[in-house]
Amino acid sequence: MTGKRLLVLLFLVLFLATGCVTDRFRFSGGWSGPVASQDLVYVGSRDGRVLGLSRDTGEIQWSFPLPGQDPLGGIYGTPSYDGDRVYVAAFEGKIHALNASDLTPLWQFPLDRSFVGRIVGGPAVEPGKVIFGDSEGVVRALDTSTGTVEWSFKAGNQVWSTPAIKDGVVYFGSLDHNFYALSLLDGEEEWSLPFEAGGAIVTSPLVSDGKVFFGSFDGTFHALDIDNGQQIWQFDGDGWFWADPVAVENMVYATTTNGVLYALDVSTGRVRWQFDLQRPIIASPAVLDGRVVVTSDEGIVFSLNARSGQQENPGFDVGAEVRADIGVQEDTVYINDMDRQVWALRLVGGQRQLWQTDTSDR
Amino acid sequence: MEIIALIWNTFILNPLLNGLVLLYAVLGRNFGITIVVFTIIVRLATLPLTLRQIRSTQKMTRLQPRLKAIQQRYAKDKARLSQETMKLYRESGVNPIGCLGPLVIQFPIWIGLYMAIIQVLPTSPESLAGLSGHLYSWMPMVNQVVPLNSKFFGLDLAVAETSIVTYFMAVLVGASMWVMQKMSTPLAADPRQESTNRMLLWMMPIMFGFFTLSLPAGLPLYWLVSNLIGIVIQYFVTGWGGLLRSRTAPATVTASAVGEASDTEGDPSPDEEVASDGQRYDRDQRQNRRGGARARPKGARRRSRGSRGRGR
Repeated sequence: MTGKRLLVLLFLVLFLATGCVTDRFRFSGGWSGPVASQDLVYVGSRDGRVLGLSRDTGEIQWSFPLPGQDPLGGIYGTPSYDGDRVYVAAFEGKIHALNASDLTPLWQFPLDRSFVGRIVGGPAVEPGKVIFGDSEGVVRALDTSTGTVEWSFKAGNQVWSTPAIKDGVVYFGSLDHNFYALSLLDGEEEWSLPFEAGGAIVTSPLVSDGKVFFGSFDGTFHALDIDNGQQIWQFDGDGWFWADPVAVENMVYATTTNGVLYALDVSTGRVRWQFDLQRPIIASPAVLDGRVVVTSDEGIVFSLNARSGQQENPGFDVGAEVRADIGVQEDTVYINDMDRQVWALRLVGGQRQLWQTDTSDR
Repeated sequence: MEIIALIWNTFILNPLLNGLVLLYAVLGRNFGITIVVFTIIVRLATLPLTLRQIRSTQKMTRLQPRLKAIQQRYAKDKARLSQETMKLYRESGVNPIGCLGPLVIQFPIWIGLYMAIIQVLPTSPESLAGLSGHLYSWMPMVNQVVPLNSKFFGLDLAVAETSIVTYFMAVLVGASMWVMQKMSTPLAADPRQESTNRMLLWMMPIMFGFFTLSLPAGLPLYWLVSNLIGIVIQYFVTGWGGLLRSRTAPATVTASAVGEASDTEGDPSPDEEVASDGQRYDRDQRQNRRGGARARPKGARRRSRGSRGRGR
């Protein structure tokens, strides 16, 4: 082989290698949790479409954009459903308001082709307002009827957490380590200072019993007084708190990327029990009829007694990683796995699969 | 495959990744400075190998006339040619592929650094999701600073941007690589080798300039700093070397002298022949280092006259 040929070969190999490695920068399609209405299950597919699946059969009824049209890119946040509309945050930096009955588009933000920053968290909806944060650290409130900006607030770094809204206050954390409380009305800060945690905050907070709960990447889980942002207690866990916490009665449940589910006393932060899944937990757990449903990157869905932590069944293996939040409606659990399959499972009174739907663009 | 991934993560990726995050934490949380300091540390750690590479290249350069002579003498006997070449290498203490050592060491660092950059700088949730498993739990400081701030002098080190700063960076990476290569490229008596060297001299900087436009800016920053340090090291060991040397001067002249000498002076033993030319070449190189550009034309003229005289 001559020197010239060798050089051409070297160039090709390096070129291909560059192509391979740069491909890692592209998002993989996201991980959107399912949310259910009376008739449909709404989920963002990993191919960048919002799908409406029949709750009874799992059959795909509606799609936005329609098959054949350009997809949205990636969807990480769980869509929000307010009875009439579905709101979806696309990673490419767009909020879409869709008609819940057939997923026809109503409006999008921004209206033009301008870019506001990538969106990782889902939109939070209150009557009249949609709130979301972006990778530029800006939290915006949009008018639900028109999609126009009512107010905006700039945090110190990216906002990945889906905001929580309670009693006219918007709560969210940022990668700048701060936890904020803003007025839903005008976006003014409610506390004199944001609460500063030891690490980045990506969890969507949980507001319950006069407290707001969230975890941080430094392995700490916090309970703050919603009136003034003062810390009531702190729990030191093992690993990052990524998934959103959930609560049942007087317990709050938080998971870490080291694979541990902690059941903490709401008042004191003491550990009542813990369950080790041994694989990273990114998917937010759900509560169902006195049970905590949790899964991990291993893809086994466990149902645990919320009081005792006792495992109630062997666990349902979906056979792929699960990072999307678990959806629950009545007695059914909905899972959107990383292999583009959406599952409807019945975990109470023995576990069984109701249906499974392939959401990939065929 | 899992074992290979485990070995890679344990010995390459995790130390690099945790080292970078630790440096970031102690260096004022600036990832650009972190990469600069990290590059200096890597260059210091591989300095013995780099020096060995430079010396090996120097030896190879000095051997070129002798190799040329062997090639001419045994042009029709490939087996003997190979045998004599290896013998010359052995006797001179030269490993022909020894100069690849630092390059081989650098490749895992490049790949590890690339992987570390995409993991610690949050371009997407995927890149961050797997990070916690790589961070050492006994270094709690590292969990407090991720994800890292990727902004540095107008560059976003986490992404491949299309901006004027990125194009400027591509030019800097290409230019610094060209200078470093020009300084360190050995003289080749073989015209084909010389042609390949010339092609590499331009091809590599262009390629890395191109990669700068398509890879996250953290990696080109590493290349740039690494090239600058390489230039400094090369300067202290060999001077400006090939940067101030005319492309065809000493080796070609020496090689032609060898050819003419062997044609006109009967049949001296190959060992004598290559030894005398090797000494002459050594002297010329020393003169070259002392006098730089000014001394070379004199040396070339003198040797040209000498060879003409012998040829008459």
